[in-house]
Amino acid sequence: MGHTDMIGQIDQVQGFIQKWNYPNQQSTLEAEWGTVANIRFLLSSIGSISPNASLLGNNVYNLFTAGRESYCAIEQDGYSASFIYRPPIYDGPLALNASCGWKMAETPRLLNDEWIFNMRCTLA
Amino acid sequence: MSSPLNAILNGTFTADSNGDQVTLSLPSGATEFEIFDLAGWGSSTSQIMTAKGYAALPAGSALTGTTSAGEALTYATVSTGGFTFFQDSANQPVGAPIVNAAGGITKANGAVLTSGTLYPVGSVIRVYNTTAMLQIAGMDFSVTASGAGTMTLGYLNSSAFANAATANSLINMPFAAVALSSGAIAPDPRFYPRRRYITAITQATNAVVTMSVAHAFTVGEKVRIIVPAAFGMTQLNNYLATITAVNYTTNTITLDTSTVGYTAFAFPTSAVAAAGVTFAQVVPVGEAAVNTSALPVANLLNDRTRNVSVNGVVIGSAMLVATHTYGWIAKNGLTVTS
Repeated sequence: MGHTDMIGQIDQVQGFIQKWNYPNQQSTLEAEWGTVANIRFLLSSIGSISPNASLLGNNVYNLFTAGRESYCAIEQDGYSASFIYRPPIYDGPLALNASCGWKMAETPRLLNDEWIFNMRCTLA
Repeated sequence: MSSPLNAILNGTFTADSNGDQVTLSLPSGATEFEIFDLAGWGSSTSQIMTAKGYAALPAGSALTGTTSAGEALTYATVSTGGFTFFQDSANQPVGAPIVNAAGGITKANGAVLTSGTLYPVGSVIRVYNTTAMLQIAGMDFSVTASGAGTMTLGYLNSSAFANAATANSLINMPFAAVALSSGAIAPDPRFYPRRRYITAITQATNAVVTMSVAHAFTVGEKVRIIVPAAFGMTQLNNYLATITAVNYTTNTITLDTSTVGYTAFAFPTSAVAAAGVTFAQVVPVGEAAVNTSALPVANLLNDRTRNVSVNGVVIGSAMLVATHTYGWIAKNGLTVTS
């Protein structure tokens, strides 16, 4: 998982295969850009950047690499998360206040931190 | 949790013994904020009794009302030291780069950095381009003393380095590494606790690890210790440790493992660092095994996955009197365009 600024760098990695070149398109993800061996790159314009974090002050891009079952989200009670909006009429007879909130019975947890890496790199 | 969209919230807080700035968490955010000095009410000393801020004004602005008992309120406007409203504490911009072409960093236990721009004690700065001292280039540090053109990096012992730095550049990170009630916008982005860079590890029955930025670890937490080959003590690399003691003054944690006989921990030379190294780190991986008033249920297993980002307002120290209790009202109203 990383930032879309990394596209030009990832494209040049030896052995990189574009998503469109996969033999099977059915299990690709929307954010997926491609793969090197068994590492799939998922990119986003809000991917993680550490500003001025290199030796010479260049931005460092964080490419989080997580193995299968390195983390999990335990969904208790058979459901995940709910976003709840109540219009003002539910607040009181004068309908003064609206509210919103969320509730969830989902618990994200690390299962094996040794299967999670942060590959940090700058742009060439 | 839930939060009203259009809210009038209120509460109280007490300024610390230094009258340092206070950061309040307001889940709904606020368009207007006001404080009242409850402890100073009726005092014969002329002081700010009330102050009001608006989110639409520049950061640090306020309308203040100063008076003493029985006297008329005197209003004034200030443009610094007032109120700063913020949305999402973990997504604040970093400070502008500061280039100190002739600014060095000393070789000392508590390295001293020379800079034309200074940040207050408790700030976190990211240092880079540290000519001749590249082994710390790219690392974050807490400022432990500030003034007279220098900032002290109190958790760095650079006395064994070959050379002092002859130049440096830095940026101010938009968070403090300490409690929510003081420092900059927020304690740490975004998940508690954060990883920390290591500046020293002792060779002892229970290893003591010093970190470059003030930490918030607690006893019982599990951390992964990363020590790349360039930092010497590779026997400890990738060790999953339990924290047995913490010291927030020396900024250390004590581990449940012996490092007696291990290779000494040491920074690489500047030349080695110039070729690229990964810093030694403490990476939190889970488990809070002790009860605290803030976290009363043990073993929640939520460390490292607990989001501590907040919306809110920073109340500048110029608005506050040390140890006084203040009442506050925050309003987040519907915006009507005309």
